[in-house]
Amino acid sequence: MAGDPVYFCAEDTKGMRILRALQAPALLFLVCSLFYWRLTLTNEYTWLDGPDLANQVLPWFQFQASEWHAGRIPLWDPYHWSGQPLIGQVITGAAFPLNWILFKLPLENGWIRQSYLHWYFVILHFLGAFFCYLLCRDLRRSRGASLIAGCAFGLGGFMGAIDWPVMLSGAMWTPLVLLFMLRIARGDRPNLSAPLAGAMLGMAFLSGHHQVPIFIGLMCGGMWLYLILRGGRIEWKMVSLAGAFAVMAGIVSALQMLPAIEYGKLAMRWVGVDDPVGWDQKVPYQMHMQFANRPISILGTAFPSLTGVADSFIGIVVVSLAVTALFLLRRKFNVRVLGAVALGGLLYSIAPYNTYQGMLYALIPMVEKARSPSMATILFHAGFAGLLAFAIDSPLVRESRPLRWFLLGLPLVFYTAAMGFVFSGKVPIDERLLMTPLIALLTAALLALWSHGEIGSQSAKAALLFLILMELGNVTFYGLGSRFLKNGRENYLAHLAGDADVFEFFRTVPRPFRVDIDGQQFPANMGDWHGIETYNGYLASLTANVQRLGGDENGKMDMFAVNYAVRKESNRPGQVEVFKGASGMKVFRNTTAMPRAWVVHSARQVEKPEIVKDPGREALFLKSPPLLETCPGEDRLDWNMRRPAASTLSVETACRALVVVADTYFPGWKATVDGKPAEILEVDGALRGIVVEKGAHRISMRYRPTSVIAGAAITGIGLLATLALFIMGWRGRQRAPYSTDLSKSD
Amino acid sequence: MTVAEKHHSGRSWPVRTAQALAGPALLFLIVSLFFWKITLTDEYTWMDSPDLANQVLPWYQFEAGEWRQWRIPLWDPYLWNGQPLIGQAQPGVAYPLNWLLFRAPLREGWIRQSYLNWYFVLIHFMAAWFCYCLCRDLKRSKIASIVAGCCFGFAGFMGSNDWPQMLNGAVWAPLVFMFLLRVGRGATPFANSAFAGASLGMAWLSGHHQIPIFISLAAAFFWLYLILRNRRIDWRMASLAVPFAMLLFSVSALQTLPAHEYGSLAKRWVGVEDPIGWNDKVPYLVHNQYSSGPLSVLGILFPALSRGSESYAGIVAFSLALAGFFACRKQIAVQVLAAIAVGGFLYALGGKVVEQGILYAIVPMLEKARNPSMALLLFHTGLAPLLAFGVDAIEVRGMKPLRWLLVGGATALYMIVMGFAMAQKHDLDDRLVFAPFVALLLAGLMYLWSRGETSARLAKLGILALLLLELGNFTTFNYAGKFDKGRTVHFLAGHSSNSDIVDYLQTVERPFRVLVDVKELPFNFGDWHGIETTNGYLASLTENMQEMGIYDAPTRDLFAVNYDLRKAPDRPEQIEVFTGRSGLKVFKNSSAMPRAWIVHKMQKVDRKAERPQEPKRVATIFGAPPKLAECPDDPHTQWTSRTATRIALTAQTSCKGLLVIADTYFPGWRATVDGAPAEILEVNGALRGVVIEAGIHKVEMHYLPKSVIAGAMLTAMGWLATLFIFVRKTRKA
Repeated sequence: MAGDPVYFCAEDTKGMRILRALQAPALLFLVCSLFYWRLTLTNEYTWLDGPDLANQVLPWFQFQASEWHAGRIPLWDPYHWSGQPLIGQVITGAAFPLNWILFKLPLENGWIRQSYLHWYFVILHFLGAFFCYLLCRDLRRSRGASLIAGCAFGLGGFMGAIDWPVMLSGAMWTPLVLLFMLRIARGDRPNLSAPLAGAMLGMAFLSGHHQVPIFIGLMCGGMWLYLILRGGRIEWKMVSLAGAFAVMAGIVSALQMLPAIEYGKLAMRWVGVDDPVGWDQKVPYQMHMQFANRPISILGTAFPSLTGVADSFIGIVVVSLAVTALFLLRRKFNVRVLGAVALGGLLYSIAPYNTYQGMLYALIPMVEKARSPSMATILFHAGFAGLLAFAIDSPLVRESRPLRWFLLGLPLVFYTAAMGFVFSGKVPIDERLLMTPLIALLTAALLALWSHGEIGSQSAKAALLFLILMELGNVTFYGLGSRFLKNGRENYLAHLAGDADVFEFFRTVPRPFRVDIDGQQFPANMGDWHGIETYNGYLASLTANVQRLGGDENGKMDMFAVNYAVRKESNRPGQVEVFKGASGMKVFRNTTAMPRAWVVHSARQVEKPEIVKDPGREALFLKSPPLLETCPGEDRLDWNMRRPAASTLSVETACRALVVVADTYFPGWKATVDGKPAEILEVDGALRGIVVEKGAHRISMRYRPTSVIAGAAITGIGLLATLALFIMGWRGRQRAPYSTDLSKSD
Repeated sequence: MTVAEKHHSGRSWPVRTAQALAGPALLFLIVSLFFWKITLTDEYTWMDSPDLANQVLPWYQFEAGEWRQWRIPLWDPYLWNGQPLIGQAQPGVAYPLNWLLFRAPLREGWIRQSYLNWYFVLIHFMAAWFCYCLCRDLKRSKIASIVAGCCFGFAGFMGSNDWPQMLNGAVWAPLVFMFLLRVGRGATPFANSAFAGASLGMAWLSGHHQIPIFISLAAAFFWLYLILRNRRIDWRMASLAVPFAMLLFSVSALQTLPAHEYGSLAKRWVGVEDPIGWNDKVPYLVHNQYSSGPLSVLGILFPALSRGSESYAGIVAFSLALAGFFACRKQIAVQVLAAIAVGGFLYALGGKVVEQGILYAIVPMLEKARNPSMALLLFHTGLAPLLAFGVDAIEVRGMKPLRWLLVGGATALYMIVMGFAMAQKHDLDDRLVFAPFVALLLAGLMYLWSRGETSARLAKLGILALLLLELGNFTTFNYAGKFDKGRTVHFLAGHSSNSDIVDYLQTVERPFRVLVDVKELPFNFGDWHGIETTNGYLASLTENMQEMGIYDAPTRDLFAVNYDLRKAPDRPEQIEVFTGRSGLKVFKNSSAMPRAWIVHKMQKVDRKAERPQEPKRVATIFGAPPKLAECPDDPHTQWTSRTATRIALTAQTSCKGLLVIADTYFPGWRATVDGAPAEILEVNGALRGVVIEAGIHKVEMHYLPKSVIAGAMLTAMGWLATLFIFVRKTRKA
């Protein structure tokens, strides 16, 4: 058995044992921190300077941090598209506990700190590495091997290449899900392991992006199918365990999943085709093809720069050792499972070239929503990282002559070819490709020395880690742009800091107001960033009621009370210039815009959503309209309070009327009139309306969706149950640390 | 009787039936899943190619419309002033599977895409199933037979060709050889000879002559081998060829007799400048043009390398088939299958193989199959069962050279790919980069199998999985998706456009005839919308029409082309009557003749295609004209009914005259005047004329050619004979 001798543990004190247990994670954290030296030890680089990150993720994080600091949970984002559900959009990461810690960290002059964001990013990678370390330890791999495998998973492959924190937050749970699934397969306390595997998958779903959790879910589905049928007939005990797994996954993820389903059914998503698609419409397979890796990414697992959509690279050291382990140790059950997971992930990622992926797309509900099959490489990397740990611990692998010959032969072929290119003097070669043979050469030498006993095991493992990090360093943060590099790349973060005087001007404008921001000039979500309500924004989806009302050609902006515009030139009649920034950017006031709220006394039913011609006089309903009264006399309306997810206004009217509020209608908003519950109606296609009787009233509205309340309660129960299961599992292990049925394992 | 046999014979018939159906059922499931793009989504279509969209789909729409009215579509009135439909063969009028498609419910009068998709899947299932039957007949295991069935049904010809008529012919190839191999083995040779002939007859019924010609050629060689294999003429074997030939002729007659009749009176466009007639050979230049290139050798292993038809079978299928051949090469069946495969492949090379040229020159009718590359069907027919031998043979799994070949080949290919990568040339066909990966997986699987680390069943399933993985990069790979901006479903796009123009034309009093600008509307507008047109996209045309030169103004007038559909007028007298949203306009030709009129004078002409100078007054005829009476007359015609194959009108004249109907003359049309049979004359080059006496007459015409009647009877007899032999054989067994 590989791993540390057992007799040491027996004699250790409790403190020593804890210290020993923490030693490796601490070392792992140190390695991760040093690996990301550009982020942790300099202020020259940032991981945030990409279009999606700078334009969308960072403004979301800024808004959420502000809300958390104001003591509010950010469920509704009032700053884009006249207000949109935040938690329902999922990719904002509003339900993920690690994000809550980030958001609660101190701000700097009201702004989220870049250094915290950098450490947050490093911690995500550390967690990925740590969870992979735990997987390998659970598979009885040595500390050193587990540590190296953890680094390979957390710092390379998917985790190393993807910069979307919400995706990383989901992906990092893969090894833990695999850990518990493998325990079930081995018969290691399956009653505990099945719900815990589900809980880990639930945590992945909580993270804020559905894509990677769907792939992990598919992996689990495949494993459950195998477990249920491996005896040649249906094993009902496994079926019940699979049920426990599914229930726990549902419970833990409820805080994210319930609002997401509620929102998804009422929203349209831009997936890459011309028109957005609704919940019941499949994401076209064309998009799956577009966001799939190409077969060359099979070579790209070992060689940098041969990437697809999601980088498959994990390096020649990992690939060669993992493949050798798979070959030589194939009789081990865990090795087979890890190999199958890896192969499955790799094949899934090259979707259009793998007809089975298409069958899964067509047959399994919801798989189509994960439109980027290339990201299934996470499974490949998790599998190969596990195999790497097996390889490092196996003398068979390190002594394998074919492996060494391969590692020696590779540089020979490569450098010969490279010399050919050099002689021709015409072909530019990605220089990183030439690092691969060098590393292969060094690995071959290392393995030779190790197998001959000329260096010790610890030194060899340290050297191997050194080589793997060297190789991963050529991919993981290779593309990070230095702030001193002015040419050759777009500085996305600069957009956020631009035109400060214009946004400063808005601090002087009485609220509420809503701004139409020129998306060409400001690609980033300036509304979230500056805390200004805007009519547009860069989102992946939008509530269907706002989306279906179409563009502004029919007066939609006026109806939505868009009373300001920020752009270089006026783009519609009725605009009056009120401010000009230093850059030439101007602020226009739209004189034709409706106020944020108004009172009408007439309502009419229409068959399909349309823009009301005279919103101040009548309101349109898709259902039967409420009875209203007409009367002489003026109505009065004042805002008392406005927060992102709550607002209060006073209204006085001479007869029964409808108060229209020019914010997006969405279920979950609840109203009271003079403290008594009142129904919020969907008016004019997408606005909110409340019927009031004659007289003076105080109307309050707040966003408290049942989906979130129920989701939070269920997730709370799920997390407590998970904790209880962990404690039970830990205590069980303390009592019988080697109760595993090893006959089913290695 | 062995224990297993006793056990087997003791099973009840439902169990036996279920066991027998398990293989085909699994095969059907695999086929349906394999074609997931068209069975499980509505995003893709197999029909978005020029021939299918412009020609086949309109034919099917017309035929479905006729079948829904319980009329057999023998005549197509909507193209070229009316053309025989069954005689053209390619519309697939005589093929029973098509009848099922055409009778399936329409959606608002339109043939449903989902039914077309399932029809396409069903064709592939039949191919896979027939190959499965062949392999089972050769004592291959169920899984090996399924693997081979999938190989035949999805790879190569069946996987790449999208013409349903050709596929319908190709599916029968495994059955033909299954029965012929039985004849060779001496297993109830008379019955199997008849079944082989009937199967080949079914291939001929399918609607395209090319594939049946190649299968017939291979069958002929097989018969030659059987008759001469003992180095002298085996007269018993020669006599066994008789039931084969008789059933072949009989079963195929419903298609071949009308096709022969039509072919003798038609001209075919084959790829040279002028169309050719029945007695003209298709030039060898055309054969050369449609031959496969030598790169097709590599194209067996890698997709998209072939020219003409695809030779692709994939690394899994080819390597295992090759290994299967080496392992079992002493078996006669294996030798025969290999010979069929090699023969088919060499024939497909056409111009590069002199023997193909010799066959072209000496074997009658072979020249009509102008596309030698399609003989690759024979290659795949031979290869697929060899794959089953490879999967089943114990020797194959331990073959080290096979594994080394797979690993070495993959490594070499990846080195080449890395060379391209280093040169930063990433525009390789991705499927070429994927193929070596499959080779490595196969090598790994074979290694595990050879060491007993995986069970035979699991290994065979693994082979099936790899085969499908590989073929998925070929068969459905290039289907047009409606969201593919690079390749929008553009051939089909025109079919649903210009609905306003169609709506307008539906309001015009019938009969009328339209000349459609094919540059604007390249598909067969007439068949698609049920509107009579004077042009169309066909592979052949009746000779009389072809010689008339239809596009000049006088001929158009003669053929009563009273409307033009185009963007701008091409004749001064045209009057614009409707403008569609697309900018296309409908023009009325005021000078066009009516659809039917009466003349009292006939002029004999020396050249058949010579049209009259004054068609209102005089009709031309090539041959002796009938005697007509001249009188002051105000003739009158009135249409009473018109369907595709039956027309009726009343005609009134003061003295004996000739009723001219501006529809294509063709044998098979029969006329009655007041219920009494009357002769239809070919007048004005290509029109129909019937002599009528003075007075009011009811003239009727319907299309029911003798070739079709005789063909239908012969085919029915062939089917009954096949059934009879089958029942007798089963009872004896």
